[in-house]
Amino acid sequence: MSELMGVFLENIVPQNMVLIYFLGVLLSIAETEGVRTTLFKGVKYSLGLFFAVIIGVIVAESLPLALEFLHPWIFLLTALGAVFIFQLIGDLKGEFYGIPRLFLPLVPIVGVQYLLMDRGLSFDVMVISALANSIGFYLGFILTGTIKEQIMISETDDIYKFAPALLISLGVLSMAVMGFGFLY
Amino acid sequence: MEKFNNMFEQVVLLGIIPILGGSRNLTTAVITTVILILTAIVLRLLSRLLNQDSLAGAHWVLFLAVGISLSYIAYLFSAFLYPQVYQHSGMYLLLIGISPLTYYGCKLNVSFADLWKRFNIFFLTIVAVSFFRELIGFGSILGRSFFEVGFAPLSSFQGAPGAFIILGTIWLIFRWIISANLLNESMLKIEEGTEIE
Repeated sequence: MSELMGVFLENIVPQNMVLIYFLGVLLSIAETEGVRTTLFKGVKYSLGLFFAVIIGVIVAESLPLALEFLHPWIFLLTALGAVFIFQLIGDLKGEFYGIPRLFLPLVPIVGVQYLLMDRGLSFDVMVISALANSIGFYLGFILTGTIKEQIMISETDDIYKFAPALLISLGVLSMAVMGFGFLY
Repeated sequence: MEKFNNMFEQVVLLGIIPILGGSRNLTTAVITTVILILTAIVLRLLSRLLNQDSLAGAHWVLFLAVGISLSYIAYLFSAFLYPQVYQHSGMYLLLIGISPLTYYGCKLNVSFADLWKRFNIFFLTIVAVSFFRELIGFGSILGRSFFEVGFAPLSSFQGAPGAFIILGTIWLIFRWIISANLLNESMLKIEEGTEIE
């Protein structure tokens, strides 16, 4: 297996940004409904994540060492740019538990940029990692949507519905993906 | 599901990233809570000084810029003061600056008493999660081991699976308590007009 392929697979499964780093958890919980809508919505968010991360990391890396302290603001600006585009196409409108939905994708976008900058990757490995993280996010997003739909149609008591059962299911899935760590 | 629309669910959902990421052990949990509370209070003060109407919706962007600056300062301090916490959970300290819960106090219809109630819920939840993660995952509490030499802790509880499963279980226990009417629900009532999923 080539190094790039190894990095690609590693970022999708054993270092999945939803199941291992928690970065996409809130967005996945808040924005998923049924599986059908999730499939399309997930593509939009994954593409937004991919391009925002690439742009943010390239801009941050182009800065001289003396301006390294600007990285968090650059990450935030690129994330806000992605949010602006999501809102232009009609997503992330309204509120979630009293907070504007524009907050939801900020954590995954800023978090992945931070992770990639922290690893100090070369350009090709960074692009592959960003792509793999986006695919990993898409998988996590669809899995969350699927679990939510199954929970909603089940005849269990209301106590078990929505988040508690969802979190425990994500925990079991997370344990499963950690098991693939030995492969890379 | 209406009966579960309460402050606990709101706090855990809005603060899910700091709770999951900052609960590796008790020390990390306390540091995460302190940073979140300080950041949220400064942002609340700022929100009361500004005329939010004149900014026409752009006030959130301004608050975000200030919020991430404050959490970045806290992140750098943690690298200096608590290198162990920085090494394992540094990213989550930085992300406090963009977590939705940090900004809840900036809303004009939220009183300081209600905000403080949310901080308490956040603190109790993150401490409970970190207590069980440290105990089951590392076999220790505050770094002190309680088990004999040779005891092998459940290492998966050190990471993401432990955080998800323990938080899910605590949530479930809380819902049982609410369903059994062991807690006065009016204590956890959220503000009028707050949209609930």
